[in-house]
Amino acid sequence: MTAITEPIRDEVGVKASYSNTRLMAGLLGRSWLWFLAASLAISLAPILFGWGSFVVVSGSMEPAVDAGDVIIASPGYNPLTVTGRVVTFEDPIREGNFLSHRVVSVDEHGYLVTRGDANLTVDSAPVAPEAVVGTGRLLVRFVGLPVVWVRQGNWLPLVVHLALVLGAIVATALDHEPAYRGPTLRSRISQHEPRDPSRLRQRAAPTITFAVALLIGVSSTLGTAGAEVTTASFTAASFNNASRWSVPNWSYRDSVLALGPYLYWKLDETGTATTAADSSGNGRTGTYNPGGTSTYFTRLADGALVTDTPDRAVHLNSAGSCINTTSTTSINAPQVFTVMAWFRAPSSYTDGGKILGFERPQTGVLTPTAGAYDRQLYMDGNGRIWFAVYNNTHVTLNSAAGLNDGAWHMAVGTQSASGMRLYIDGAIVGSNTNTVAETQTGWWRAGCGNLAGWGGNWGGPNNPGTDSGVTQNRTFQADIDEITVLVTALSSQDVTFLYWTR
Amino acid sequence: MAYVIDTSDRRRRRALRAAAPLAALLVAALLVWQGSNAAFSAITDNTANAWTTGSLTLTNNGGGTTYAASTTGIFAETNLKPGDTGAKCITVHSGGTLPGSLRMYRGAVTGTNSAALAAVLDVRVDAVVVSAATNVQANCTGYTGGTSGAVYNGTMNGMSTTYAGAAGTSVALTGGAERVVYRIGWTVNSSAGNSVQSSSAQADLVWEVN
Repeated sequence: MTAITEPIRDEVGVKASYSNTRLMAGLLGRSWLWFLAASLAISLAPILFGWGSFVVVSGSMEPAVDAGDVIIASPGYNPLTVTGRVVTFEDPIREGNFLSHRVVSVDEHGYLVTRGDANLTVDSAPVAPEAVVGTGRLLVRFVGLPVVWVRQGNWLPLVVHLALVLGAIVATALDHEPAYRGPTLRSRISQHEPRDPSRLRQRAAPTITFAVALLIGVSSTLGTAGAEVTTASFTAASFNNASRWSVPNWSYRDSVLALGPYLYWKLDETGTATTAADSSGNGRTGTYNPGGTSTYFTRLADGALVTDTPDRAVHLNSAGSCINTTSTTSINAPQVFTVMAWFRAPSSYTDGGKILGFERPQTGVLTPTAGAYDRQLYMDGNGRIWFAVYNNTHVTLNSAAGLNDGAWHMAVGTQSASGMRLYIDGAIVGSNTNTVAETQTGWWRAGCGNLAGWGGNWGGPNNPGTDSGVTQNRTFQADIDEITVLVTALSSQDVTFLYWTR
Repeated sequence: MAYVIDTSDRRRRRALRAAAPLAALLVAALLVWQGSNAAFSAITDNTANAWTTGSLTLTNNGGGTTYAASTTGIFAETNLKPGDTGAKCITVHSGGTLPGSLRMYRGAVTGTNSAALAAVLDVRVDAVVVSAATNVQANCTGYTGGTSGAVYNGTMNGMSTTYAGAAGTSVALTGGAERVVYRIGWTVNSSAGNSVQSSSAQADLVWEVN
């Protein structure tokens, strides 16, 4: 029993020199290291089973998940139970990043609508099923904080953390039962020690502690810095709801009326009507001369405006056909005006003719000595449209040839203080600075009129000649529609818009 | 007796040393269990938001003076025709405490024949960062951003409908309370065809910060 009696003295000596502070520090250090080790193990172990482990690096999932927490996610998700759960997914905004947010709902396409707990609004982009990495299962608090600190360059807490780990290591290492001391005991110790397993543990403890500490020290700082991170990204959105733009069903007719026409003959008459109604509301009707029968006019059902109801027009059948102002009272010709007409002629038609103009006499034609004629739109033998006024000389604008192509076209001539303009199909094709047309009295007419003397402003066959001492009644023996006169000059925008509404 | 006491002391220390790791493991496990339960339970109540700290908030004045997360559309343009144009301003307020990238995009375009109209509805967005005290209303009085350096210049159709796609509209927010005035100009392209007759296009405008 010497083995018993001899250690008594020794045990007493140890007890006397072993401080409680040392013991407490050792216990704290041990606990701290084991706590870190356990947390780290829990964080990383699931990776072995194919689960994902993500360090949260931002805080939009607060308070449930803080930056520095580690989310352990099982692969995939159950669409039936996923609502309310936290999923980790590939960030649709920042490619290559992972985002962990809570599922608010599953939309009709099977996409997950997500939201950070700390965000007021749901994430704007729903998450595609294939973008989901996993469903959050375990949350290890704080263990990833070193990663966050490293990422943020927040060195102070990192240093404190490392110092604490180091302190824990030292405290743990110092807290162990000292070996037997004293020369008188040496022989006995060497004899007894190998047979005492508790002493082996005492010696091994610091070694284990150091190994664990090393693992933690390295892993929790640098090792996990390379771990996959997931953001819980802050987001906010603001809405300005239901701004609205609308384009009505613009009608050509209404748009013309909105411009305040002087007269507006839509030529929608049927049968043998002899009066062309004035849609302007001004009562300036026209008269189909010399009569309304099919000898002189064919009433067409395919007018220029496909969206108009009725969509009618007329064809002038004879060289004597004309649509004249009904009123016998002549007017002073305006210096600011717009003449506007739609016309259609086949390519075989090379006679040309007057489509719209101001003229005296009221009907028929007279030489300039007795009559007058300008402010006119006419087609030449090449299908070219001319807009012409007389200002002591022939002042004209003209389009390209070839408008006798079997299609409806819109011709608009304007004169104002800013000069003359000619538009075809809403686009300007010519302009000049002439502001004055012949001072005369007379009547507006459509489809016929004298063109004697305008032969210098003509292309192709059937030239009316330059001799104004004769009469050259040139009826436009083709189709006309939507005859309009305004005593204002339409702007190019107006013209373009009118054509657009066709 | 000293022998007994001494031995028990030593045993006590050993027991404590052995217990420490167990306690640490238990605490770690409990923390994990508690945290997982709190965060990942499907019945977690996440209605009480802690968004006032370290977060992002975004409101806009809807062209007026009252800021709200959601406002009514600043544009209600009717009887449009090709070539028509207009512009209005709207001020977006960021009340967050974090920096972020503010972008503007649109919701789905709805309405009659809306795709045709949205294809010819040219939209130009200019943005300027102002102080949190500045309030520019729909009439753009006080807007100082000019019209150079648009963050978006294209058709309504071409506007992104996602934050990710709206990178071109990014405005950097520094994290304090600040505002961004947007001048939104629109034009019905004068080359718009007759097919946009009887059409309407309605869309939400969205500002998002991330």
